[in-house]
Amino acid sequence: MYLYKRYIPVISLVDESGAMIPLYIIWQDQSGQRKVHKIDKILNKRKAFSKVGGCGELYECMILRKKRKLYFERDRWFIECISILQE
Amino acid sequence: MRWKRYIIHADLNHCYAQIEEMLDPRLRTIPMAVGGDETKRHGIILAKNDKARAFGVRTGESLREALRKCPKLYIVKACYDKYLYYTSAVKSIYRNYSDRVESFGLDEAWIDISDSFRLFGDPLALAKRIQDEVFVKLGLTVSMGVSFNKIFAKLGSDMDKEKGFVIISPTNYKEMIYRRPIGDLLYVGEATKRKLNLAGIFTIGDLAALEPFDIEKRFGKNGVMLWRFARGYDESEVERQDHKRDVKSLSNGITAVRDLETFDDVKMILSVLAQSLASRLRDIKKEGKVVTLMIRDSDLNWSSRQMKLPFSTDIETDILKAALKLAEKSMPYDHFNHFKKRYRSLTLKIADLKERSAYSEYDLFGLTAAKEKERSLEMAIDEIHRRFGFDKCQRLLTKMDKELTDFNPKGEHVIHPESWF
Repeated sequence: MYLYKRYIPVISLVDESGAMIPLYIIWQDQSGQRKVHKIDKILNKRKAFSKVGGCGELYECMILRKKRKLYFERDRWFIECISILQE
Repeated sequence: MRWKRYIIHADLNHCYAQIEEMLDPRLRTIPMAVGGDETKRHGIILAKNDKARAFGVRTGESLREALRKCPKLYIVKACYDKYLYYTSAVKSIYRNYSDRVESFGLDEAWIDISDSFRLFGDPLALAKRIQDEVFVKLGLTVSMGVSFNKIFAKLGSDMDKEKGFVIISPTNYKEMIYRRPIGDLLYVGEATKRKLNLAGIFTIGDLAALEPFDIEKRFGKNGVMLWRFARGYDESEVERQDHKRDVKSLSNGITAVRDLETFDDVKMILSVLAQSLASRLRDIKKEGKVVTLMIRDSDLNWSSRQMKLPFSTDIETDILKAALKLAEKSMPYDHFNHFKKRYRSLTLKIADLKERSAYSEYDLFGLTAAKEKERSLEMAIDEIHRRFGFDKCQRLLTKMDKELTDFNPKGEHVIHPESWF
């Protein structure tokens, strides 16, 4: 099991104060099918770097009852994801 | 005891390489360097990581040379836009704690936190906090020197390159730095070092022990300045963030895509460089008087020649004329306009700048009206470049070899190291 970095499309809301809130992530699985997952809750938001490379605004989210780290890096989103396959 | 001032010098350790490593941690495990573009022949190493350093790869050498030392070296193409973004992110963290943040190049900065203690408490703890915050938020390590003047702070940050934190206080500075070689002092380069060594000055302590009067006799004004640095008398302020250094010279240079063989090649390149210089001069509303041409031949030797114009100018034709005169003098050629040597890169510089005055001081018999006409023509061309693109309006001369003149020195982002003076 290892962590890797993946850039993904995200549907987000910019509220009237200018704060950005990610709502859904769009995940493409191995068969190439795209699925929309709702972000159930944002646990916290802070500036941080990622172990898999890159830095930016970190949103710790609950997605399908799992904790995931979603980063907004400059102008795009990436997520730290877990793979069981070895490189 | 409280010090008079608390100044941090923060240095992003091998800046470009570290940013690339942060973005892709796999690069940490292999020898890696950030370099220019080999195909366009700006192929030099701009930064390297520790694994590459172990192979003897040095900053500034050509990619080919580096690859010979370390064939497995992985070269990342430099992307200035990225480095600008992350280095300014680092500086905005500094600015959370002080209004006095003075940049020294992209990766270095002085921060004056003498007055921040009322808000943030103990200055030394605050310095540590800033260092940690940069790491937590951006994943970048900075090495810091904390001292009571800018010079010692800079010395401190250079002592330990791996996220170092060196404190040079008014009580311990003599033990800390007096035994260090004189070359460590800011503004002691190779030439100055040789000169000082000849006079028997090998360490910073040696210099500090001398009498200023003797130094002035021997090394002049700058010698005294260095002596003040060594004694810790430097009082220069860390500039506020909105402070802009006065521009003293402008330069543009290019390493050509192929070696320059004839005088026509040089003419073409100089016309593009002169155009950019003149346009940049007009942008900052200044005029220059001294034109310098720096040439590098295919053996990588630099030579330069300069001349003073009878008047200050911001007009392309004037600069180009002067540059061509210099080129004719310094690049020997035969009857067929072929050079006796081959040349690799040209840099054109204009110095002795001053504000453009409302009235012009052209020479007595010069044609002021004609010059003014020329100037407005060039400004119109600037406007065309701005609105429709750089390639839309060019001298016919440059069409003789499109490949050679296919560069835009004004538009391309070039970063030069900064100077103290």
